[in-house]
Amino acid sequence: MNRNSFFWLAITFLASVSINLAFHNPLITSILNALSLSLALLCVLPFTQGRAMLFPLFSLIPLYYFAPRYPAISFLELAAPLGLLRPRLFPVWIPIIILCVLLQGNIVNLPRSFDHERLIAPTTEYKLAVKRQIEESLYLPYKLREPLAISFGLTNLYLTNFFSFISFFNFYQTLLLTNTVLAVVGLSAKFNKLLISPLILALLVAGATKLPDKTLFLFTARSSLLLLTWLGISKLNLSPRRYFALFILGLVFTAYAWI
Amino acid sequence: MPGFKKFLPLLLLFALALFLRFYRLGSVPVQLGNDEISIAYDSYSVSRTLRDERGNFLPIAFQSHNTYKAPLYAYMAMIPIRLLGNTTASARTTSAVFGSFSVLLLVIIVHHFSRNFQLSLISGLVLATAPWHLLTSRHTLETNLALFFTLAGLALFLRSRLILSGLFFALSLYAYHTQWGYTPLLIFILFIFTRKRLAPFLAVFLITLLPLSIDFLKNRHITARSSTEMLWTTGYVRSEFQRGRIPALHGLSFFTSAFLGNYSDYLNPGWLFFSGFQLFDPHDAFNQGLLLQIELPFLVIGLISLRRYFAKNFKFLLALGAISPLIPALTQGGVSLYRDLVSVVPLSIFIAAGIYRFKRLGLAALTLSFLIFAALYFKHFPLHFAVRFQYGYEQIAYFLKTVYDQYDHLRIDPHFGPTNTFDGVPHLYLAYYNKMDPLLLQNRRESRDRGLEFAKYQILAVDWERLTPDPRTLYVVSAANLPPPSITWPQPLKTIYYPDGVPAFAIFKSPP
Repeated sequence: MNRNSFFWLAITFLASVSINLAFHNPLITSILNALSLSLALLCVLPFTQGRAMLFPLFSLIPLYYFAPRYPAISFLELAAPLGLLRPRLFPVWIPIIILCVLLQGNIVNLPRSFDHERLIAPTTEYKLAVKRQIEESLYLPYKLREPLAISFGLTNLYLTNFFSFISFFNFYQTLLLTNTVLAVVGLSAKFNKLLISPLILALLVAGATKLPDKTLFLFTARSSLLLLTWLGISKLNLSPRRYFALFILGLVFTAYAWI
Repeated sequence: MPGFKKFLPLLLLFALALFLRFYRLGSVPVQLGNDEISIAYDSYSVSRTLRDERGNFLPIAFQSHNTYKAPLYAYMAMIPIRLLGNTTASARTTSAVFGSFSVLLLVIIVHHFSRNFQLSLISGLVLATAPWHLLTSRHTLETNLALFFTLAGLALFLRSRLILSGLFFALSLYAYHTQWGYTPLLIFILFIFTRKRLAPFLAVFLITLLPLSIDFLKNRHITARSSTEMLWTTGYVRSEFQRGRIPALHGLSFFTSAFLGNYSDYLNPGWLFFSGFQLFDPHDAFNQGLLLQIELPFLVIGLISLRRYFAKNFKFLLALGAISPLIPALTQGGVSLYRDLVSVVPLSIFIAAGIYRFKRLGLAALTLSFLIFAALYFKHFPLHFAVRFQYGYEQIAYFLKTVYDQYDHLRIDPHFGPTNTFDGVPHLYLAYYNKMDPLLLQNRRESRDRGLEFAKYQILAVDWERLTPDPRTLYVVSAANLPPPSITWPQPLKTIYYPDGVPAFAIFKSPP
C-alpha cells in the first residue's frame, strides 16, 4: 500500500465516521462502520489502480451509515472484510457471518432465542394451501399427494421470496445506482467466489424470512458488494472522472431526499 | 415430402398453441371478468347497431367504465360473437386465435435473426407454453391482440414489406394503449439497427393513425389514458415538484426514482417466475409466475449465449428487452402483466437460447414445469377466486331469462363479494348473455335514486331494512346481503354457488 492509498483510506475513515455521526449513529457504531469500510477498501486495493481518490465516495453508501439494532452486529460484521483479506480462514469467518445475518434478520435474538414467526413457513396460510392442494389433487396417486404438495409448496414459497428479494430496487436503494450497475458487471469478472459468500448467505436467509428488509440483510453483505463494485470498475476500466460523474448523476436521480 | 417434413414441427407447434388456447376456453377462467364483459358487450352492440353500450357511433375509444378502451378488439370480436353466439368462449375466441398466430410470428422473427430453425421452434414453444401468454390469450382483452399486430409489423419489417409493416404497426396502436409508446420506440430502434428506407413506411403508418390522432386531440382531456394512467399525472408525483431545496430538481429526482422503482419491479425475477400469475390468494404457496419457474436459469444461460446464436443481431434483441418494460414503468398503479405483455417476446427469445444450449434437458424441464402449471391452472384455479371474475352473473342472466315473463320488475343489487363491497356490472352480463336488443341499454334511464333501468331490469342496491316489497318483483343480491331474520317477506327462489360450493348470490321474490 502506498502513501497515496493510505491517505485516501484515512480520509475515507474520517468521512465515514462523520457521516455516521451526522445520521445520529452512536460513536461506537460509527467507528465500526468506518472500520468495516476501510478494511473492505484495503482488500480491493489491488483493483483500484490509481483510483484511490474515489474511496471517500463510498462512505455515502447507505449500507455504511446504517446502525444495526445491536452494536455487536457491527463488530461481528467485521468478519466479512477480514474474510476478504484472508479467505482461507473461512471456517472462522463464515460462521460469524451466518450468526450476524441471523441476528440482523431478527431470526435470532440475544441472548439466545429463535423467532420462528419470522420464517415463511409453516404459517396458517401455508398449511391451508397445502391442505387444499392435497384435497383437490385427485389426478395424483393418493400416497404422493401430501409429500408432493408439501415439498412443492415450501420450495415455491421459498423461491418466490428469494427471487423477489433480488430486485434492482433493493440493491440500488442500499448500494446506490451506479455501484449497483457496476456490481452486476463485476459478477462476470474472475474472482474467488468464496468472497461473495456473505452476500449469498444474506440472500439465502432473506429468502426464508417474511418481508425481508433490504438494509437489514444487505448490511452483512456490504463488503462483498463493495468488492463486486470495484471488480466492475476495474473490468470497465472506468476512469475516476467518469466514475465520479456517474456517481453524482446516479445520486441526483435517485436520492431525492437529499435535494 | 421433405418440405412437409421440415414444416411438420411447425404445424405441430401451431396445433399445440391452438389446443392450449382453446381447451375449455369458456370455463377457464370461470367467467368473463369486468373488462371482458364490457368489451364483449360493446362488440355485440356495435355488430347490431354500429353503436356501443352508450350509444356512441363507431367509437375510436370505447367508453366502457369510463376507461376508454382501445377499439380494435371489440371490432374484431364481432365476427366470432355473431357466428358463435353470445357466449364466454366466443368473446375470447379472437384472443385465442391471434394468440396462436403470435407463436408462428415469433418463430419467423427468431428465424430471421438466428437462421436457426430449431432455435426458432423452441422460441415458439416457450411462448406457446408461457403462462403469461396463455393467460392473455384466454381473456377478452386488448393487450394480446396488440402483441399480434406488433409482432406482425416486426416480421413484415424484417422481410422488407414496409408498407404492410407500417399498416400493422399502426393497427397495434388501435389495439392497446401500451403500444402508443412502445410501437414508436420499437420502430425507432428498428431504423437505428437496420437503416431501411423511411418514407413508404412512415406514410402508411401516419395515415393509418389519422383517425386515432384526431380522436386523441379532440378528447385528450377526457378520454386519453395519458391523462389518467401516467406516473406524472399522479398527485403524489406532482406535489414533489413543489418540495425540496431545489423544487424542480427534487421533483425530477423523485419522478426518476419512482420510474426506476417501477422498471425494477417489472424485471423482478420473483414476479416474472414465481408470483406474477396469481392463481390463488396473494402470498399463496402455489402461485405461479408469468413464465415457467424452471426457465429462470435458462434465461440467464440464454443471455450469456445470445451473441453465440444471434451474431450481430444480439444487440437489437438486448435493446428490445430493455425497452419493453419502459412504457409500463411510466404508468401508475403497480406492476401490470397486461401492460407489460410486450416483454414476453424478448424474454421468450432469451429463454429459448438457454434451452437450445441444453436441448434435451431444457425441453424435459420445460415439459415438467408446464405440466405442473397446467394442473394448477386448468384444475385448481377455476375452483378458487371465482369472485374475481364476478362469477354468478352469467348464471343469473340465464335464470332471469327463464322467469322474465313472470315478473314485472327485476331488481339486481350491483354489489357482490364476501363482504358485499365489490361493484359489479350485472347489466352487461344480462344484456350480453340474453342477447338483448342493444337499443335497450343505449336508451337506459339512470338516476341516483333509481339506479340504472332498462326493460324490466333495475340495477340498484338492495337495503332490506328500508325496502318495501313491490308486487311481482324479483330481487337478486349477493350471499353477503341476505335479508335479516326480522324481515320475513322475501321468498327465496334460487341460490347461485361459486365453483367451490360457497354461496355467491341469492334470488328472492316478493310475496304475491
